[in-house]
Amino acid sequence: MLPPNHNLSPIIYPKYYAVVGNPNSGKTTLFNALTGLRQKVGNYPGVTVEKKLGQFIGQHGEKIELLDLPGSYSLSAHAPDERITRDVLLGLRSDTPRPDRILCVMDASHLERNLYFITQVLELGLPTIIALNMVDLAEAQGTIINVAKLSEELGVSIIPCQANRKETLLPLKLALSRAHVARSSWTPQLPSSWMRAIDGVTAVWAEEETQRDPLVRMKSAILLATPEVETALLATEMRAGTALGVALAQRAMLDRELPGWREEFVSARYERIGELCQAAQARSNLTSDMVTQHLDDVLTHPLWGWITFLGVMGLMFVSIFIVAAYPMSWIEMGFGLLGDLVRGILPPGDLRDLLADGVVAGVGGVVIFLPQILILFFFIGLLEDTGYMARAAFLMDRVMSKVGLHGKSFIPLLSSYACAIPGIMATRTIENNKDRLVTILVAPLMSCSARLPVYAMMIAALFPAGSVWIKGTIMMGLYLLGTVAALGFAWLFKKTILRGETPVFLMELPPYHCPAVRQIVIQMVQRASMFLKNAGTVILGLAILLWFLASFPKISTSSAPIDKSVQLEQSYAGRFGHFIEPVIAPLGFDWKIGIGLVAAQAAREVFVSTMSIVYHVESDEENPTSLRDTLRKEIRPNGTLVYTPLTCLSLLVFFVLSMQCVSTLAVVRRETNSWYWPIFQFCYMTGTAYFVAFLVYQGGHLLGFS
Amino acid sequence: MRLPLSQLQLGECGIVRQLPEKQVLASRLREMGLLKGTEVTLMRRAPMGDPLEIRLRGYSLSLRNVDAAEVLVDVVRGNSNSKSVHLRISSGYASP
Repeated sequence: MLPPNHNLSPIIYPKYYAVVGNPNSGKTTLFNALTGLRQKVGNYPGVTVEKKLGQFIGQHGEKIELLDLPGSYSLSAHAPDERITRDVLLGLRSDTPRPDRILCVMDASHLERNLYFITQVLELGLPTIIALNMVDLAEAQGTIINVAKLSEELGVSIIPCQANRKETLLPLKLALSRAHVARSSWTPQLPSSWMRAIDGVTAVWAEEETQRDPLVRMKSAILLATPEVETALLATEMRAGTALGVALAQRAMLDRELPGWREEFVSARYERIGELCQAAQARSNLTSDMVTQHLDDVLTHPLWGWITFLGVMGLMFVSIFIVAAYPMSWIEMGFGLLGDLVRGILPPGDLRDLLADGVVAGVGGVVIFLPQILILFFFIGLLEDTGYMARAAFLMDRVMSKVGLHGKSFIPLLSSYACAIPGIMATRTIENNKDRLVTILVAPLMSCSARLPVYAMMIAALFPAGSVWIKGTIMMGLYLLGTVAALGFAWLFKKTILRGETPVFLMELPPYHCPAVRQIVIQMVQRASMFLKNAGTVILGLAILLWFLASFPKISTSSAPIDKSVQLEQSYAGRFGHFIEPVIAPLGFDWKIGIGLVAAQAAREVFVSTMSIVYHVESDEENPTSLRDTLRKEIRPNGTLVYTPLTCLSLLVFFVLSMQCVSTLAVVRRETNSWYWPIFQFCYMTGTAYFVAFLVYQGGHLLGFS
Repeated sequence: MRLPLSQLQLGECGIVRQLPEKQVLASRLREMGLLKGTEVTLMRRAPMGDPLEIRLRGYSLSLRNVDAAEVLVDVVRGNSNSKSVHLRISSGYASP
């Protein structure tokens, strides 16, 4: 992170720390507390893991950079984000320079397990500072840590703090600003057969003079201990391809000579940590986290647990679905007024239309998602920060595992009933990469609120006089169809393209905490700004493109008022509607519906307004029945009705299943960091929609329906 | 008495004697601190029976029945109400 040219400040070098620690150790809270909103969030190239860089001003006025690495339980990484942590610390990633220093975050109330990872990090031999977090919690539970003793044993500074209380962070900031930070005196103590194996591996790939370097030896040790399937990959990354054969041979040798070596590799470390804890930790009158236990007795109770769960989820869903509707209508109104204003100021012409109907409407189409995103991430922040998220996953895991998913896929899928965009953004809480990808791929099948106007219109056309019960039943059937399709495809993807070893489901249930509002707000702002920056620009571009397609070429009538319906028919979109008519005819759709489908790519609800333009219906909002009645009278050239019950049903099924939302595709691109997955998603969903609508229409005909 | 971790009674305590054959699972469990000789307590089952919550080394871990079935433990005798006992002594070391 050093700027290439730092001649101007020859004395003060920015200090660059990697922040590491166990999940739930308060690492991200600490990172946020130190850096606030001075953060840059991006992705590591090639993977979906988030890269967070932040900075703060040290005590001598110098910049201190922090890199928040994904939470890890071990350097022998098992998950993609743990692999990032390992690779950055070992200096194996070309896109991220190896940090000069390390800030370890250690949860004082779970010292033992935290030290497993932290001692591994200390053995890398880099200048390290340990932030001893949650000391208040540990003390409340009766654990007093002798910081001086622990610091002496580990040979690095240990600074007690409470990441959720900013005023406790000054000593830590001072420590981070120091010119000199000690390297740990903690050295690995391994059985001699292990040492020989490490020597053997190191000798093959490392230079003679670096073979005693702790980092080099650590790399060899990790290569030896890494899971079988990943050894080759790691060896390549280490540019130690030659060591691969040796590592495998050494491993086989260890398997023969020392059958329990894998166990011993870990247990030897835990034993030393046990001794260390006994020396540096005084425990009196231990209450453990009784509050958490009592809360869990209720919150995971077969009855009360479900009631709370349904209550929390219901509240969240209602907020996204109903509460967000108010600011969304204000935004809509605001941009509507802005559009009118533009129309009022500028003289008629293409520029005016571009600004009013393309740009302003496009920006409005992006901003409209913000209320839902903010509300959802408020809830997610709250659930994660309190620790309830893990319990929700604990409750739902059984259900989700039926289709091969993880309990954590539930919230993203539930949110997708409101809108797939926040839902897909919420998949970040799923650690397993494949589970996350599957959840992203199926999330848009859950019927989102943008489909609602289309459902309502088509159901009204289908049963103009039908009772509320019939309409309600059909509506529910549509939601059910989407849900079943989502779960079915999740199951299918887990069986086929995203197969792989069943990921081990091991999830820590962290103690409950009071949520830190600041923490939640930072996350909300971050998500919102990432959405605006990354997906928003793509959405805006596509919205303008779709506007262009629906408005050009212009019909050349200079005097007569332009007939919007004729104009739309003449446009590229209209021509495209004609063009695809042969393709959609087997589904019972004519070219006018084709135009609607093209326009609906911008957002599904646009279908309704487009159809009113196509059929010359004035303002469907004020007079909702007029469009319905027009639809019911619409006839084909051969004199038969267009909107037969079968066509309506086929159209409804098509809307349930097809991918008609460029905004979602833009977010999927952002979240998966590739164009491959959004394209795949578009193809499989629209393909399925076509196929099922075809079955409905043609099958219905065969059965004698019309 | 030796039985799979998944078959412990609620609140019952066991000492780990054998880890799963599957290397990925075993190494993951080890690194989370579940080793031969570690004391674990079955705290609760999710309402639908799966997954489980176990407590070890002073923290709570949830894992699925299928995985817990591959961990063998010796039941600690004479600990009628070990759930609360375990909470109070909640350190990870096996009692002799």
